Amino acid sequence: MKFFPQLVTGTLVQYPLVKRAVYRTIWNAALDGSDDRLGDAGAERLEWELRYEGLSREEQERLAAFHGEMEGRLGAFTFLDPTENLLERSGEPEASVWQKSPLLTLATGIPDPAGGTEAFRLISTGPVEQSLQQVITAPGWFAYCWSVYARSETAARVTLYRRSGTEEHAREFAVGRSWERLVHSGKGESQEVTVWFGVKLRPGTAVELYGMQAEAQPAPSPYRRTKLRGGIYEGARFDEDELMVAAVGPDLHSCTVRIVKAGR
Amino acid sequence: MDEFPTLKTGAIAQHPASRSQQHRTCVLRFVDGSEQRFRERGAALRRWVIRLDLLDEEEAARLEDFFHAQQGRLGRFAFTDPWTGVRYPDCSFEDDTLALRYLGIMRTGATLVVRENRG
Repeated sequence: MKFFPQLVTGTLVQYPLVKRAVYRTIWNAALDGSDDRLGDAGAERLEWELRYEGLSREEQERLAAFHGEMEGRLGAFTFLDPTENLLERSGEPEASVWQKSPLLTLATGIPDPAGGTEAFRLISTGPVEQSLQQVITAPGWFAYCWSVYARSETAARVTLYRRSGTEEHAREFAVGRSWERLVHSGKGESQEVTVWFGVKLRPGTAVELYGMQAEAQPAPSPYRRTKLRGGIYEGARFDEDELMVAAVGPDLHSCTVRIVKAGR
Repeated sequence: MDEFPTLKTGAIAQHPASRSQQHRTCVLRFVDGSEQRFRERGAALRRWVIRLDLLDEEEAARLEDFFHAQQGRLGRFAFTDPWTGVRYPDCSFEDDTLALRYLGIMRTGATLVVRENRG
């Protein structure tokens, strides 16, 4: 499985970038302004136009090597959309994509910091640490940012962890009565292509959580709730057979990459 | 019926915005120079060009999710005219493509064209 590479900085893209959602509707317009329309589900696609400036030699070589490995438009790879949350069903901890320890009690419909009721309460009732986690298909060697909003009626401690293969990176946070975004980021070395993102609670701990988000970048962006799918696109391809890289100065390169993903 | 999403400020559009109304008239011109005209539509079709800049990531995500829900110009939704406040219950996007331009943090832009449906 191939993945579109990160830059040395741990990001996938730079500003500006353009993302296009493309549909096709068969449209039969009548003279009176009315119309009949039919959607063409097979024509759906997403496109990303990524403009890179100031790339180091190593970074431009990494992009060029990947384009070469894909042989331009021929090969398919997985693209982690930098504008999306990589987790599925981020606001539905009761969904089956979330793996919950057996002695973790879950209550949903709790008021959240955004003014809704999408927060949830976790109570660890077991004698050992209890966890809530989700696995994604993504490289263990990427940099990730894992974030969640948390609060607790009583002082509590919550651990955010990221695990890939035998490698685990964890960080414990103190949680108080007001909502605070907990952020755990870092780069892994694992060569596995699965990454777990989870929270661990000590025995007897009760916390309210909201806005679970994983991103393939060092810092968090505003929370984006996901439903059936996260921002991981398998089967993406380059949209051009040619990759032109310009050297604009010593160790300064620029290029534009276009990626397309058929379907959603 | 879905409702076109508003920005965090409650606004639907930003400056510059434009709107148009389109009539359809058939003109028959005779040899003697006289004309006969008749309408081909019962009422004008309205159309709004919504240019959005400086959206934050949440607003951009809401717009993208809404466009996906509509599947481009296939879907129908209610749109409130930002000029008059009149709500038009049956509108669609005019294009099958939504391009979101991420220019920086809280600097996302997009241009959308909404048109009123007839029948």
